[in-house]
Amino acid sequence: MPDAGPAHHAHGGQRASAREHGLRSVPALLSSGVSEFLDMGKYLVLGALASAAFKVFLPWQFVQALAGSEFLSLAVLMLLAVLLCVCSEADAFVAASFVYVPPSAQLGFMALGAMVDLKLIGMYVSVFPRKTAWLLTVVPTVCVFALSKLLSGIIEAGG
Amino acid sequence: MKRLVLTLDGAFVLGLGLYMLILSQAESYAAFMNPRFRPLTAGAAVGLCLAAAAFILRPEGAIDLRRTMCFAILGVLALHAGSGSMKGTPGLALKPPPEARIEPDPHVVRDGVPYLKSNPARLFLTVQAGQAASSDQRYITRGIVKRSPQLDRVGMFALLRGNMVCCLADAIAMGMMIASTGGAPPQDGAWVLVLGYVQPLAEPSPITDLGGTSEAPFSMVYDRARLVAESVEPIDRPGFPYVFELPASGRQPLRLTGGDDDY
Repeated sequence: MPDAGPAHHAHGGQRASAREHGLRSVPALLSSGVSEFLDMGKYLVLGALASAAFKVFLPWQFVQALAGSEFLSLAVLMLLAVLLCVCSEADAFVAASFVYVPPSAQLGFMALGAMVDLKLIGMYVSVFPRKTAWLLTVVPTVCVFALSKLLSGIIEAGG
Repeated sequence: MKRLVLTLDGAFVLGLGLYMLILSQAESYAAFMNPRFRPLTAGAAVGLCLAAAAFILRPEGAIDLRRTMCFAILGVLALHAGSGSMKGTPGLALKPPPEARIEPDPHVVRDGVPYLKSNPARLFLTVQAGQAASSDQRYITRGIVKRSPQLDRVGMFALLRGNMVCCLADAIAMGMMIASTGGAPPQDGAWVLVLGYVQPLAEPSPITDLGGTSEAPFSMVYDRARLVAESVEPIDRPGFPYVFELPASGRQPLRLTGGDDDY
């Protein structure tokens, strides 16, 4: 069998070196991941503490009173979605429990909560430039409000 | 100093991973999360432990005392909440093999009449899905009494149970309106056992002043039917007050609340 020559051996040596380099970089990858986790975890902990406090101490009669008008109820429930940080697994059940608000407010609660909440606002501010973080917070809020009102109008017109 | 703080950060993450791993194997997991997330928690815990070990061996990045403080607070809260509401149960409770488990009878017989066990949250979902059997079907259920001015006006009270769809933070008290046959309604916040049958309402009757309970900040009752009570009996608060009910889907509805506490 003819000898493959020095080029083949060099190529095989490069592959082994790349594999070793890849394996050596796994601990570095994990370590870097934990560093990121620690940085983001700060906002997770603070956001969770704040939302737990709101859930326990928020006067719900106040919320019910403000929910008298359709405009206010949508705004109040969107604010609640930001403050309570309800996960997307359970937000439909929580929204359904607000029986004293119109469906547009329940929709606004579910739609905004997935995109903007206390934890996410902190993360946006820490990762992105201030202007970008501001846009990431304000644009979804305005869009959800406008689309919820629009949908409510369409449903009322059709019904 | 930098190395010390980073090592401390790594230790906090390792502690968090170990706590999650132990909790995922313990009975008291159900005090915090829906049990269907056990494998996910265990998998995440293992990953976190491995990553934390790598970080402790070769820490990197800048120190941030605020984040160290946040994780210290998290650690204190985890230690404080560690026992959950299932204090006293074994730390590691392994499931018995399938052949050793005895499936409980889904009925309770009173005076020769069988009553189907159904906690208030499951009854809510069953009736909402239109799966409630005919008026011949009797139910036995137990939960927390919740009264409100709207319910008092129509001579009813709500019977609720904290339903953990995802985790304790998002638990919702769900249940039915109960029409009692006579006598004074039970006290708000009391635990009662109710035997009765489901009666549809001619018009939906949404209750808007229910508020929350001690187990959950949000409450909801099914507003198109009520449970007509044949008997209302005071009971003690069960050791574990929450249930884990989900709406029926294309697959079988998940029934995670099993055993003697299945109503």
